[in-house]
Amino acid sequence: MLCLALGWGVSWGAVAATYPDMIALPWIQIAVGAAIAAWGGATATLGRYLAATYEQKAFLWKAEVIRDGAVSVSVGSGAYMAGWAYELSAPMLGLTLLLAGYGGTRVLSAAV
Amino acid sequence: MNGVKATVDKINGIAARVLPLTMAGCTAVLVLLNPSSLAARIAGDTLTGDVINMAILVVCVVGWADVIWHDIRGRLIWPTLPTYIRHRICVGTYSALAGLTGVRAFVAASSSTWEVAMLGGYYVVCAAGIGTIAVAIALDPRHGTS
Repeated sequence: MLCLALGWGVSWGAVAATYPDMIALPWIQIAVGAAIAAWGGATATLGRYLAATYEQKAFLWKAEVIRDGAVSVSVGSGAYMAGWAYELSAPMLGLTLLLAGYGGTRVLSAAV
Repeated sequence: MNGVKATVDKINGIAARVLPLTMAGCTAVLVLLNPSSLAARIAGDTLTGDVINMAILVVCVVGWADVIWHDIRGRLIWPTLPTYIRHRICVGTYSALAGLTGVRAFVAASSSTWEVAMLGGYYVVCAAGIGTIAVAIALDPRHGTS
């Protein structure tokens, strides 16, 4: 998860190349944003775990967490960059990240 | 395994759920009604911020309903709904509260770096704690009486 978060931050930094240096990037905000998106994905994981429990089906925690972590952080990255491009306000961007993290994994679950 | 269950029971205790509900509800009311408070000034005055606070209050109402029904009455909330749905509502309640508290940390802004760090860190810790409660509730079978 940490590697994914760092990968997201670096990719976002590459897009925002107008900054004079990497240190000027809002690293803390990026880290919190990644955490919000990841939590949105974790919420979807918990929902699927409950469904599997009540239907008495096997639930592979490791695989599900890795998959949802990758998807939610990737989708969150896209939402972050889109929000940055469209100059969304910070509260709107934060809410978008949470919903993107949750919705991304939900959409993938429905598609697969 | 017993150790895991004991830990889950401990995290899933009534105090562990009442405290964040009280904290989140009071903070939302404070931000909405007292614009001069530190929390309100750092959160900023935006329509989305107000929506987030209102959403937190709604989630807190659901959380209190769960506490009253599940812990005080010994039943699960909304007895007419299937157990799975009610369980999912409970998990979703605390998951949403954790996410919205994380959003609070994300939007923390002020001219003072110290204020942002203080409040942002506080919200991150709170979000992590509430998230742990959500996981504990998900792991708790909750096949109780309805």
